[in-house]
Amino acid sequence: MEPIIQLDGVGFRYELPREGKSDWSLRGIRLTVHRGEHLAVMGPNGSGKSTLAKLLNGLLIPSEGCIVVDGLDTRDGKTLPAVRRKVGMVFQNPDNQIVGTTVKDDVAFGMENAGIPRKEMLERIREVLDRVGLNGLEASSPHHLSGGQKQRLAIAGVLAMRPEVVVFDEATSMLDPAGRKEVLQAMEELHRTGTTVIHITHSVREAFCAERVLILENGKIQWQGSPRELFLQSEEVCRWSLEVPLAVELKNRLRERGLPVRQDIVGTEELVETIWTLLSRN
Amino acid sequence: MSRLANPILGQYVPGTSVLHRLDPRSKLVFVFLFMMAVFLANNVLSYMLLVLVTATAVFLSEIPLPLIFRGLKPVLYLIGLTAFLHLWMTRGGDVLWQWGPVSIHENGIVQAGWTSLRFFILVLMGTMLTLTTSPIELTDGLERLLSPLTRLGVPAHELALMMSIALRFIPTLWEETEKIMKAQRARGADFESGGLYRRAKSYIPVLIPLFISAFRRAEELALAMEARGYRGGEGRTRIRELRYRMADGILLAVLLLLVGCLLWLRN
Repeated sequence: MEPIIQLDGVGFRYELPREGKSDWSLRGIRLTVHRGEHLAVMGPNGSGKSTLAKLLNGLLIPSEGCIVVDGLDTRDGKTLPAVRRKVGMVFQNPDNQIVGTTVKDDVAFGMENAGIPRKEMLERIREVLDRVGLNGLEASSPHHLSGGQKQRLAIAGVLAMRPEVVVFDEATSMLDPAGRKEVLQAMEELHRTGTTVIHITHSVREAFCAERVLILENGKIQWQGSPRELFLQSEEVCRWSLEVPLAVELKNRLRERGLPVRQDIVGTEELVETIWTLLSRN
Repeated sequence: MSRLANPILGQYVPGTSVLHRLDPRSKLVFVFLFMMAVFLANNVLSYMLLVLVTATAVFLSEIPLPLIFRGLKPVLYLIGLTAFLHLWMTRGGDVLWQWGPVSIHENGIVQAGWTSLRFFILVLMGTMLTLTTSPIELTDGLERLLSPLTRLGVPAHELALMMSIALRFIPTLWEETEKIMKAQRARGADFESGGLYRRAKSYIPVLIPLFISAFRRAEELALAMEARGYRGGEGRTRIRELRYRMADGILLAVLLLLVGCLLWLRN
């Protein structure tokens, strides 16, 4: 697979160290994100997840090591606008990332910055609003939108820039379940159409939709692998204080009781199937 | 509904009238120059001309008269007060009425009448601008009108961006204020009782969280803007388009004609 973002020995600290204290937010990060991949990044509060997100599009510049996005080093100020076009960001708070006074104005904001001609802007606005399902709301003012709609608007603004990668920095954490579902669907659609998706999240359930999960703790990558592998090692999951999905929790308890339940079950349906089989056998 | 019952002075009323469709730049220029032209008038005919132009504007705006005047009410009181003062203070001409040291002179009546009319025309024309132009259009118009001054150091783009972000966040912050007030009420805060001072003081626990959250919002918004490639006004294109139309030309012609007539009529 072709790499799209490469991090090599990346470290970051917000301020210079005070008397002997090391305050690295991230240290020694070596990571390759592949084109078209769906990657989830998890970790407890203060583990450096958001810092990692901000490093990916040059909002923060690594204190050591380097980040190369599609051949462009984020330390190079001249290519930074190009990096930001390639890597779009959707932030946590739906309100605080909408600049425009109407849906249309907001989608246009990034394109205006990039100096895209008006005619093309209008075409792209129609196209991306269609994609996120906000067509017909062009003239609405943002405060009339629901949380999920606001986040979809933010996604539309990012998509209008035709990005290679979209980073979701806890973009679902402030939404109600319905809004969360809308955003996850949009994310899924992006992945299907070949955009690289990096999803920074607290929720194990959401990370489960990804192809690869990365766990950060104390500024270091502690573990990476497929979501399925992750839940095979539920003691590890507990150690990183992540909440385990109900099905996995139940499977573990059943196994503790000595019931013949397979270790590699992670989904609800699989578990239901197994329990049925067990019951009918008795 | 509540807006109809109690409109704020000059609050935008959406519509599709000729005035609404005019380019905000020409409206701004027209109102600015009209306000200066008002001071050229000094006799009955010239004032009648001004009244005619203002009445035409009101008519063309297609905004119901009661709505306009309810918004103007506080200004009408102010006009009444100045007229009253003029009436007593101005001396000259025949004395029409006297009671001890208090007197009304002929000039007082004339002055009170003309000044009130002038004041009224000024305010009415000013509101016609804001009643028919949305704040964001006004911002756009101001930005374009000021942009030639960018070279002289006037930050036209930044000012316009600040205004439009403020407009974007007014409803958001308003919602937040209500939320904080509810939260404080639930903790026993009382916003209704007591004198002016006590009531003002009771708003401090609302304002402080509001300010803190506004600063946090500002920081996050700045970050989001940077992530979306904002680098200032240079090299930006615009989605909002302003275009002069036939009607804007006519407006300009009306303005020139008006100034010409006023210069001719005045003595």
